[in-house]
Amino acid sequence: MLFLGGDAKGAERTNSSASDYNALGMKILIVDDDPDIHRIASLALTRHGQHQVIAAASGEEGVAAAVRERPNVIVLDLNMPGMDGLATLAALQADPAATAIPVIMLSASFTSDEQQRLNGIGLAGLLRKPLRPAAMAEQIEEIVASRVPRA
Amino acid sequence: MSVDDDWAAPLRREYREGLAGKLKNLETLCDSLRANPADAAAPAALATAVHRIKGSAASYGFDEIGAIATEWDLALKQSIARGEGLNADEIAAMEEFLRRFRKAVAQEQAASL
Repeated sequence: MLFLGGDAKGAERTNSSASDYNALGMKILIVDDDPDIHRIASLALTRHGQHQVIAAASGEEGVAAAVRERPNVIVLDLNMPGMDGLATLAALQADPAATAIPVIMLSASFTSDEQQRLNGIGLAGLLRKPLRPAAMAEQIEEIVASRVPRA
Repeated sequence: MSVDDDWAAPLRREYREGLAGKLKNLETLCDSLRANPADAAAPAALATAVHRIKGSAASYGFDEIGAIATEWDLALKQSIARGEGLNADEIAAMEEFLRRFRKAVAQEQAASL
């Protein structure tokens, strides 16, 4: 699982996966209760990756949007009121229409306990806040590309 | 590249304009804490607001505000983990975080003039 910190420039691309995979123009679902995060992420991903961004403000909205929109990847906030990131992930994994969609967990803090808890539960990667808007598209593309089977 | 680049400038300006509202919300939540220090719900509400700012402020390039929110978030988590409401020292610490936050917001607003 790739862990891309907010201050990191992003993991180095592996030539064999990333260069063969056209990650531009993905449909990305952002599930976060903070509208400020939606705004900056949407602009950054649209501008830097020509991606289409769908925003959901809660876990429930996120699951519904995932089933309806079938995004290429879901960026899911860990700490949300009500249905949090872990509960949302479980709901996504239980839904046949959403279970194959890669999920990147997003949080302002991943404690070592949380990192341990998040290991092995089927996440595609972790992304730390604060977001680095200019690097965010590349970080997400990197995570998605790392899951594409190599020829 | 930073969020100071032109493409993000309107969003950064919008976030800066929203800081006064965020400060007002924190002041209201701190008032509730002061009024009911034993109420477990008050620190949780404050923690949610502070955590959001921790996640968003530096994403928009407001690093100082993000740093204050990060410290504040940690202090609140530690207090909440005790499950007993906040004691006098913790209330005083919240006041200090609020004072620092207010000052940082004022500096950002002054810098934009």
